[in-house]
Amino acid sequence: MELFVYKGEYQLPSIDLDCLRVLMYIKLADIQGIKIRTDCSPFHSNNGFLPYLIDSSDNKKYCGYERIINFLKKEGYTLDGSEKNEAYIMYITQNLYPFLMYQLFGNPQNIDETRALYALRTPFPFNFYYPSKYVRKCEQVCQNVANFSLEDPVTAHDTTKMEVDAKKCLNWISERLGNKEFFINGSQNEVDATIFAYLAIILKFQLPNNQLQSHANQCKNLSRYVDNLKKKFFNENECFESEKVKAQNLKKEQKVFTGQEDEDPPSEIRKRYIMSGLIASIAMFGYGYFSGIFNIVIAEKLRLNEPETSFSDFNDYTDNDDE
Amino acid sequence: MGSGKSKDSTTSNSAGVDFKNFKARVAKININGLDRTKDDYIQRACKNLFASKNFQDVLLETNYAYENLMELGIFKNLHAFIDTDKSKDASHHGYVVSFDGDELPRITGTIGTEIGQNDGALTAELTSPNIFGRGERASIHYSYSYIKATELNFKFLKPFYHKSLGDYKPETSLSIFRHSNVFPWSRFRSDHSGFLLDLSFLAPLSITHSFQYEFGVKEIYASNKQTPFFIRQECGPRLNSVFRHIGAFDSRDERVFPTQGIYIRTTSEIIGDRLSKYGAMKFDTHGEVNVPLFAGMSLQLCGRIGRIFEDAKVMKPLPIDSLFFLGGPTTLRGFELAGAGSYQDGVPKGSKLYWATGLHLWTPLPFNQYFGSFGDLFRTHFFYNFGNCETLSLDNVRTACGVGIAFRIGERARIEFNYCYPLKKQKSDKTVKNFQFAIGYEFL
Amino acid sequence: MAKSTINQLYLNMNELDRVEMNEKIIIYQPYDEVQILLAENASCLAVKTYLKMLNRDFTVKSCANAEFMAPSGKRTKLPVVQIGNFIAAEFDPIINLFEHKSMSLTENFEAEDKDDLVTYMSLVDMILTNTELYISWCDELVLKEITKKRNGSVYPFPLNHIQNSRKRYAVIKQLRFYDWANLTFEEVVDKVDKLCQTLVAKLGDRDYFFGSNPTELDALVFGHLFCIFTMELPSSVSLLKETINKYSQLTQFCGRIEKKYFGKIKN
Repeated sequence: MELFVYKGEYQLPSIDLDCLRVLMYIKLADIQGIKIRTDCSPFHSNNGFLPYLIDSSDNKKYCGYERIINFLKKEGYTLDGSEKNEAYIMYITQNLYPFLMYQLFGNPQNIDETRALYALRTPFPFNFYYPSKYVRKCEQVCQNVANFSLEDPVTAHDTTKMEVDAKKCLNWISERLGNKEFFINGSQNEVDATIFAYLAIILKFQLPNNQLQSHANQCKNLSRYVDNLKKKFFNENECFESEKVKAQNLKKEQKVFTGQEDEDPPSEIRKRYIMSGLIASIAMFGYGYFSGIFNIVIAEKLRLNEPETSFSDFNDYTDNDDE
Repeated sequence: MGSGKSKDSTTSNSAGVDFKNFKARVAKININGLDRTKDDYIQRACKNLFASKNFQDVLLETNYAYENLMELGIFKNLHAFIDTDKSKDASHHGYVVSFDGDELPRITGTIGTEIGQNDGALTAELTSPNIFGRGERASIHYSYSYIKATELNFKFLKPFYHKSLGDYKPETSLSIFRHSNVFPWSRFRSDHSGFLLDLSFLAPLSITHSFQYEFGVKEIYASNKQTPFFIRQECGPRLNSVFRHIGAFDSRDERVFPTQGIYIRTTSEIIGDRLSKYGAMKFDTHGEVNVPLFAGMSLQLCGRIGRIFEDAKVMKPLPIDSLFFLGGPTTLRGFELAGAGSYQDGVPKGSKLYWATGLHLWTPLPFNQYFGSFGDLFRTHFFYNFGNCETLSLDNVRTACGVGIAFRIGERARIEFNYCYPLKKQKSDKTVKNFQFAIGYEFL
Repeated sequence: MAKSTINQLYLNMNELDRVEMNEKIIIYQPYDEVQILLAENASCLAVKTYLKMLNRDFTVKSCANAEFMAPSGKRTKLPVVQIGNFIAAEFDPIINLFEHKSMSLTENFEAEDKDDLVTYMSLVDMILTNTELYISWCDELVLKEITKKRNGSVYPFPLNHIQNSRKRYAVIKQLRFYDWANLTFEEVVDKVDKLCQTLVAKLGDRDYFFGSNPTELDALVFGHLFCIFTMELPSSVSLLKETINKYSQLTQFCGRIEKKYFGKIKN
């Protein structure tokens, strides 16, 4: 069997929610013999989303979390069932999914970051198209759950209800989880895959605006839970972190100023402004002088001997560029 | 070249010769540069040329023919030439009139922006003029605005200038439209989509009539959580079937800053909420009179009145978006948009009867002569406007006066910047005591 | 184990504080006889049952455009409930209101039971609402025979056809969002069957899901199941009724609630 997922980032095995859920399920159910591949494109999936699984015995394709899990269950790879499992998963999905989706693909501050994450993991012509499918999915979520459209101005994005639901749900998870290793009765369960996937994305993603992260960080047991499970089930080389992110993290830890623009001391910035202003005005005066828009006449007068600059049309041009 | 009139008339004046004394007849008319236009469509436009008796007539008729041809909507540009008839059997005072023109291309497009009160819109229009060779014109117009009042229009227009009734300038058009209006003051939005059949023509006394039938679906949405319940109760889709007549008379010298002339426009509607039931009538009239005074000043008196009659037995009351809202910088200055009128649950509830009048004294800018043509873009005005809702009497009348400066944009729109002082208002009215900014096409 | 705060968001709940609970409760819903659809009816019945369980009086007003009046709501947007100036739609916000006012049926519940309550409720709501929407709008026969006639009944021609296709499009979009649009009828019944098993296991041989007193979950389950039982459906989808009928505990449960809260009306 082969499973196709997005490659990870931020020390995670995958960047995608459903991919993470499936991966975790495989680990929890201890299924051997599944080859995990990250060199794939959503183009080959039936529904345009990863993950998908190909059963090598009859070459059948299973796309999406539910179909994959149902197939695996049918094959006999089950976890100790609890009848509450499905209700829990449903509850978590209903409450966390909308706001997480909005944070990832709806929030204008984050969208570029997340799109880039997906685009980098999709081969060439498709990388322009498939990430936008997630945005469209998010649009559906917003319309269905909160009655607004992503095309509305940001001020009209009424996410309060979603946000309260999501945060309540995080509290609920945190409370129920306590210090246990697994969510239900300390044994591995399907719901762990879902919770792990959600929490991993919430806690590990580095986004410009991540309200859920700061909320979840206050519940210490959540990050402990994620770290434990990650350490237990995934070894180092299954997780991935790009050089760029590594460098960013390093920088954050060391708190060193480098040559990046907004970290320059103000004197530097001022110097740069003055320099660019100077060069621009020299260029403009040069152009003006050589093309005859204005000329400098040194007038000889009886008593005074001072140069006099006369401007003609040039006034209009300089006004805008004085700074 | 170009329009023959100015050139020809100047020559006639400068030469000091009376062309009436020259006998002339038009032997031949050439119209060149036409490709897909059908012959019968243009023939009527220059028929009168043949009737001319002297050279003065030829010049005048050429000019009319030129205007008629341009009006057909098939030429991009057009030149007229008059020459003597050089054919063998020509009489010695025979003339040949030739029109050289370029047809409009198959498809033309425009992209632009529109600015309105509190709103900006991006517009795109694609037009295909003269599709079948007789001036038929199909266009798609799309505008996308910041507050999501999106408009989509498809219009097919067919003129009948070439038929025997051509003098009445009959035109038929079919539009399929979809647009939404926002009513931020009452916190709702209404979407309107459907089609519109229009027949318009010019009747004697230069009154333009247009008879329209509109059929569509109207839907009111509550725009946010604060929308009061009485508006919510009107939300939802509704069938809208309207017979409409618009009559207009315009003798003003100019549209934006007229100094003399009269303009009247009345709209009458019969409204039904299903195909077989019509239970409401709506009338709305706008009129203005301009009187020139001394020193470039002019006096303007304008008024508006609107009334709705309903028969509750036949259909449900009209939805709130069909009612009148009084007040705003383009109508009753000194009041907020929809700020004059009765309120319910904190929002204006609209009224079935309103009237408003305005008295303006328009003056050019002081020292206008030093600004040249730039100064013509501006006018200052003193205004006094008053109006009322729900009654035709002067009880509880709302009045405001003020002074302002107006700026012309293009041939139709203007911007006003007024200092308003409301003189008389009712308790619930929302007034604007200081500066008020207005942008629009039609002002009171 | 720290529980982090969501206080600033609850500030918005001020709105709930201002609701006067003594005001009359008015329920707006589509016309019972001619217009209302399965999922809408279920949602309305659930709310009515809940209010009856709370011993609150309410008046029902029928109007054709009830669903367009709703200020919120993600599924059917019905019923619209008005308490003074407070307006809400669907089951959830109404429960929230009563919970906020400490008037809910589950005031003294243990944390564990409360968890079960919310999780079961989201499960029931999701599966049964989707099933009802699926039956009404995706089954060709039901769509033609019942749904289109009822939904279009309040609009004049040709608006009825326009509204039918608009609503169908919206519902299918909603179902697609929950990955339900491409299911077969058998798969849907299968899901309901599974849900019934879960519910029966939870119910056991008690009167209500959480012992001897009714809860929100009871109101919700009753609302949905009772509507499915009583709605006239063509034989092509009778499998659904049969599936639920298999579980005698559930039918008895519905009968019990009907007798207790609606007995007066029925006789």
